[in-house]
Order: sequence, then structure tokens, then C-alpha cells
Amino acid sequence: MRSLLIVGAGLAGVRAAEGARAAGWSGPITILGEEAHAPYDRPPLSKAVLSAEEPPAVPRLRSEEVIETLEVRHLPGVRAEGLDTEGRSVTTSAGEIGYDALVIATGSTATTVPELAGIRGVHVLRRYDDALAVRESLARSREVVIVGAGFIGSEIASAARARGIEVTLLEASDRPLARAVGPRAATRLMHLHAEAGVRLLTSTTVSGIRSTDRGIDKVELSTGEAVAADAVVLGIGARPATDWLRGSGVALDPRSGGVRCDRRLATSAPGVWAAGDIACVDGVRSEHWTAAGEQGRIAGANAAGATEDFASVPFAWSTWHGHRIQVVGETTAADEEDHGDGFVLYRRHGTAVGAVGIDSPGPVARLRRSLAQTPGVGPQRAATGGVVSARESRE
Amino acid sequence: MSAIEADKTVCEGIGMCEAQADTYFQIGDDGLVEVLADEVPDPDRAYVKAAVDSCPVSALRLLG
Repeated sequence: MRSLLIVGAGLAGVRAAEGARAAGWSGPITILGEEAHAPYDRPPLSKAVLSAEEPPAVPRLRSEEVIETLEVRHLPGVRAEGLDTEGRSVTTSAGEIGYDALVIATGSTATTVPELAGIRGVHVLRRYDDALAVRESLARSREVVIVGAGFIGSEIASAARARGIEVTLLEASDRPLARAVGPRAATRLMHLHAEAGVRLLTSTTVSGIRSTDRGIDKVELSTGEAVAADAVVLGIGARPATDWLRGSGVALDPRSGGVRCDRRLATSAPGVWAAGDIACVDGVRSEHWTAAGEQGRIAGANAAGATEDFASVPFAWSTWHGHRIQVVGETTAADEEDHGDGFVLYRRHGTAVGAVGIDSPGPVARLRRSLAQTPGVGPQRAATGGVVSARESRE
Repeated sequence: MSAIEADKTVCEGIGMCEAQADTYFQIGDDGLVEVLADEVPDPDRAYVKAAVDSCPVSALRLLG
């Protein structure tokens, strides 16, 4: 019987197994996970896990029962180290594993700062074990420095303030969230930090850390100031975990390091699909939970013989200091209109193409619905050619 | 026939359910899920189950 191998046990990997089964794959399915845990979900790591009073259980994606029903073999603690696309075999830390169809979903690795790596009290946040360490560290801290004012850094800042910790949030650029949203939305979002008592310093980096035998004492900034801190958390981005694919038959995107694939999530190698953070679809990586899930499902279905295209409306959500933030559609290069009361709309040639909402779930949901039906943007299951006006999207 | 159960106290209005099965789910003006049809005929069960399973905060259940 033909076998499906899925490398990566995150959301995209699990959804690939579900997508393959739903599309009729009847052969064995194996999921390799580098970590020792059951397949788990990442959004809670920077949210609920950090606020938990007691060390929380791993936020499983599916119950044991559901995994059994899917007839999926999960191999925890197994790392992929190489790929032979001609012999259809993956080299792993547990030996060679052959496949007939392969879905690559190895996700991202947190970016670190070489000079800070290994210092006790300095953390990144990408995996469950990282989240436990950050939670433990926050529980013992009075002051923290968070490096990077993006979504992860901001969520950590929010969790720290909820614990009454003094937070200094550093941003290397002069404009936070430049890759995610326009300047007006960024100003609104950074205002949430100011309201919550977070000290935000832009155009500022860490130049050194002073430690004692008890841990971190002070963080030296590029401005010359030294800030007292018990812990430092880095939220400065992530890069695709594709080092194991270098030199294989799977082509990587030279700029992003992601796996090049088409809208069907097929890579350059026969029988190999990609999904999630590593997938560079027509030159674009969508590093969002919603995209990872949908790409996983489609990659699995297509590996099983379906011919679905990936075309979902970009969508991300977050909670900072009790405020619900939602980002939908195109929110960087379009014209930006601040509609007040927490709704920033983006237009191109007059047509609404995206929005950032702060505690505005109704308008965001309506816009997302409209975008999903706009040709060239959404999944086009109802390609009505609907053009959204700001009024329609708000009412 | 199955039935959909939605817990609005858990829902965060992320809208994965609507993205996958918009004939059964919609995010309302309050930003929370509205179930458009409580009963799911058998031919739609797998389609609705996928939407229910996609909820990142486990606010949905499919009974029966």
C-alpha cells in the first residue's frame, strides 16, 4: 500500500493527515515530530500558557482518540536530516524512512542573537518547552526586557504586564510592525502598550547583558542606558526550518529560505508537497495559523490525488492587554484609512482590501466575508465580483 | 442527523468555522459565532466536522 510521510507535527502536519484521509488516502500515514510532545497548537504558547498560574499541560491539537481514528502513526522525538527525492526516502535521527508521497511541514525556527544565545535568563518563544521556560521566568521576575515589538513580543509584553511586571519593549526599527500593518494601525496598536504601562523604545537594541551568579542583572541598550531586568525574551522573528533540505531535489526560495511551491502546494520534486510556515507559495510565505491549517489540509488532499488550490484570505488574531486584535487581507502596501474606534481600513484603487481591528470583530468579520468572495483574493467558491465599500464592511 | 453546539463563552470570533462552512457558521456583530442551522444532515456531516475541528479554541462540538 502506498505510504504518506508527513515531516512536522504542528498544525500543518496534522491537518495534512486529515486532508489526506478526507480525500480518500487509505494507506499508512506517518507524522514525524522533532519534539517529544503529542502534536500541539502554537497560539496558546504566547497567550494562555504564559498567563497560567500552574505549569499547563501541552495544548494538544487533537485528542489521542482522534489521532487513532485517523490511523496516523506519530513518531515523536525524530528529526528529519536529509531528503532523497529520487529514492523517495527521508534520512532521520531514527534512520531512513521511505515514502510514496511526502508533505513537508517543518515550520520555523526562532531567530536568536548569537551574542545573547546561551546566557541564563535569555529566552526565545517558539516551542512548548520555550513557553514553559518563559512562563517560569515571568513568574519569578519583577522587570523584563522584551526584544522585538512584533506580535510575539507584544503578546509576551501583555502577559508580563498582566503579572504586574515592569516591561521595557525594544524595537530595532523606528517603526514597529512595518512588515505587518500600515503606520496608522501601528500607532494605534503601540498606543495599547502605552496605556498598559509598557515602556516602548524604538530604534533601540541590546548592546550587552550584565549578569551576576543569580542571573541577569541589567540590560545595556544601544542608547547607553542600562535597564534593570530579571529576564530577556527575544521576539525578533523566525526563519523557515529548511536546512535539512539543502542540496535535496526540493527547490528553496533563495530570498526567504522557504520551500518553493505552486498554488497546489506541489514542490519542484515529484511526490513532495509543502505546507505551513515553510511554504513559499508563488513567492509568498503566509506565516499565520489560519494559512498553516488550510495549506496543511490542501497539501494532504493533493498528496492523496486531489487538485485543490490554496487561496485563503490572510487572517491573524491576537490579544494584547485584554484587547482583541484582528488583521485581515492586505494591510501593508494599500491606502490606509483610520475610521476611529479601533477600525483601520485598507483600500487599493478605492476597493477595500484589508483591515486592522481593535475590539472591532463585527466589521472585521464582514470584511473578511466579502474578501473571501472577491475574485483573485478569496477561495472563489462564490465568485460574485462583489466589491466592498467601507460602508458595507462596517454595517 | 447531527447537532451543532457552540459555546459563546469560549468563542473568540476567529472565524475558522465560517471560512470552512459558511452555510452553518457566521461571526455576528458581537464578534461571536452564530450557528445558522442547528441540525446537520448526514451528507454534510464531514464538511461540518472539519469546520468544528478547525476551531482553535475548541468552542464547537458536533453531537450525534
